[in-house]
Amino acid sequence: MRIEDKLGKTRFKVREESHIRLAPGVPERRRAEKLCLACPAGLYSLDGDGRLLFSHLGCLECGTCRLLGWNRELEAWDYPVCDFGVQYRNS
Amino acid sequence: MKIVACYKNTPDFESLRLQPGEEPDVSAAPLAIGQYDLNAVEAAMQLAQLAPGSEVIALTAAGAAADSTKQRKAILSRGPDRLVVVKDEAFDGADSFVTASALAAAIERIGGVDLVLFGEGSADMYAQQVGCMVGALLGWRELNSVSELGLDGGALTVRRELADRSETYRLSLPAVISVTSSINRPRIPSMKDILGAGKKGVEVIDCAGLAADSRVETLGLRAPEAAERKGRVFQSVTDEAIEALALEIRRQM
Amino acid sequence: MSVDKFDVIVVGGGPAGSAAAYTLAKAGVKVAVVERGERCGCKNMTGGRLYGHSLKRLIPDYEQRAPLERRITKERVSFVTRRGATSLEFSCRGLGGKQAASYSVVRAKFDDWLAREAEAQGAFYINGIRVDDLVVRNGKVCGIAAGEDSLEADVVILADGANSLLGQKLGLVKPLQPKEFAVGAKEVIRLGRGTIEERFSLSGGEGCAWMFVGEPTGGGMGGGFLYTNEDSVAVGIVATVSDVGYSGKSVAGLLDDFVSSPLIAPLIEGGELCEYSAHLVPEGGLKMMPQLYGHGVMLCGDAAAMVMNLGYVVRGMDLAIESGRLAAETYIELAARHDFRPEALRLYRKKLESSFVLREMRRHRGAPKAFASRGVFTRLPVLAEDVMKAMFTVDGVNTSGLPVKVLAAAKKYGFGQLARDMLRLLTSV
Repeated sequence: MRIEDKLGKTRFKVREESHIRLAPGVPERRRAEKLCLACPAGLYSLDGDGRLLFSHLGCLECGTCRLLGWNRELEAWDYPVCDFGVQYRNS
Repeated sequence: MKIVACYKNTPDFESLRLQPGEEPDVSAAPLAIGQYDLNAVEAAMQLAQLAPGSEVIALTAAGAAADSTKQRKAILSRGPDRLVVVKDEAFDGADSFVTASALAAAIERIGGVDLVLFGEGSADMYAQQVGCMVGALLGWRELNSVSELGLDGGALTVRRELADRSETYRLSLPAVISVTSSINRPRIPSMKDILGAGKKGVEVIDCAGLAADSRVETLGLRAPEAAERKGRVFQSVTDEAIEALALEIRRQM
Repeated sequence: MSVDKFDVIVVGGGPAGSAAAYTLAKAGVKVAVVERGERCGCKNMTGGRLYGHSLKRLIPDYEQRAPLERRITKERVSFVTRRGATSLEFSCRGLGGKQAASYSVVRAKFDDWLAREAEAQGAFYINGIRVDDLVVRNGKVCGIAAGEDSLEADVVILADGANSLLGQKLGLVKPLQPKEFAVGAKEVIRLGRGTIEERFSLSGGEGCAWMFVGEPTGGGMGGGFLYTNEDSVAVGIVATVSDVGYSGKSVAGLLDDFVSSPLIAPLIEGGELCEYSAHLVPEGGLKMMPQLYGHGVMLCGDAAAMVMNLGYVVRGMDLAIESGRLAAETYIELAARHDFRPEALRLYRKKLESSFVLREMRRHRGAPKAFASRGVFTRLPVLAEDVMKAMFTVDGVNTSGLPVKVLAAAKKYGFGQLARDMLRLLTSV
């Protein structure tokens, strides 16, 4: 089963604005790859130029990327405001 | 102006368990304020701002949900000055007429009400009946599908957006209005709003056994068969992919 | 009720926060709990199991009141290779007795219940609000700030979870280290009560807890888990963040491989995935534990890294509940003197030291290091397989006795390596 389909089973209260912001520029390859592998929602990917792509839609707010990329690949990381974001019912 | 905003606590519809052909299972669904009702509350708050000195009263007819402090706080944190709850076990799963009768009776009891607001429908049954029925029971002017509300002197200005036309009215009060979900964006309560909600008054009208008789007999409630999905995935960020997607949609239509 | 000024503000409505709020409210202390989830528990995830002893101390009849999934009476540990698994199973009716039963739980239900219990004692819950910052004056934590609003109290209890942004802002929690955290990801698969009891050989209401070492994390540090809920099964993996990528697979990919492996797939066949979730787990033990208190502030639960992973036992919620209760008791004792300086709040640490929380964390302080060696995850499952293969293979060729066969397997592992790995494991867990 694809991760997108799995995330489709989890409930979210969506806010368009992202609570995580990537730093500009091309990240160090190995570090960027680790971010891609570590995000349990698979929200990080690399484009052809080695730039990091990220979408906050489907973010499970676990903080793993913050641990790995804070102050380097990520320049802002906060929990979503108010009660936006993931809404677990069965976990 | 004295404004009553009606709402209903329903099982959170995103937590329903649906099996095609079976009754929706609400056992795991927590209570929530009906999403369309939030529009009614917000509309009431915005109107109240236009008429200083107004009072906004939230009103619901509820069974088990009547006692939930969490649900009371949730509605009051959206702005209303106080809450009136008509309580009877019969209101859980009641039909539109039973609910409307209870609300109309409560509105008369509150007294001096100028305007009653409803959302476009309840989040569970979505019959879109209760607003109209309350208007009829009270003998007040009643309009639904209202997408804009304003005040002009002592009268209400109303815009209805219908499929083939839009209408504008000037209404004298009292009146019952059902608003659309596009009329506003319900506010998100702040910490102070929630704190303030804990201090507001709640009046419970216990009407055990006094609920009106049902007019509708429910024979069955079944989840529909899920529509077959094409399952085609377009995963790209290029313009060509967007064109391909548009082409595919056109072909399927 | 007037609610403008509180005695205590608790940040976070998980087990630690609600246990603190429950204890405080019960003693007549004015307490507010600020939780960003619309409902308590909706941002939280557990592998699956609550050891109930500390909750029993808080709410003696919790077993009749709380939404518990299944009472765990069957424990399994499996060492998994690509080809199969060596498993140990222990089952015992009424495991844990009256005082120490453990239960699988679903946090969205459990945390909400505990919050309602605290609310019934008089705690004021503020849900749907993210606390952005702490109000600090002259070095003392005086309250919290959220959006435009602020709220003041004598003491703030931080129970804001594994990734405690507030604890880090205060400097009590040091910048998080990838080697001290694991990322957990899990799937909850609905199967139906009967099917679960059939497939796991359980009687009504009884449940199974299952740990996996080796292949589920591709040999990387971490493990797999499975817990039976009432009508669903929770299957997941936990992978040490610094070790992610060891196998070249993503966390999501590892979990997907695990649920579709021959070990798990038949057990969840026909089930319906109803949720996918992920969370951080602080696994560094005592060594990573932050400063537990400051001027007007105390840290509880995951925010204070109160998690113990011994491989066969994984605990967090029971420590969280106890720490919340003890933080509350600390406040209650100090309230008369109205002294919340660090010198006074040291009482919280003292209470933790004499409770099971710090005693047991100290006893098992070596566990994180033992599990920081890859041998456990790569070599041990293979050794177990080699020994079992030797035992259960009859080919008429290898005629040696069992001791010789076992020795051969150990030799393949490397005697020195084996001795080191075993020693480290045994002394720490």
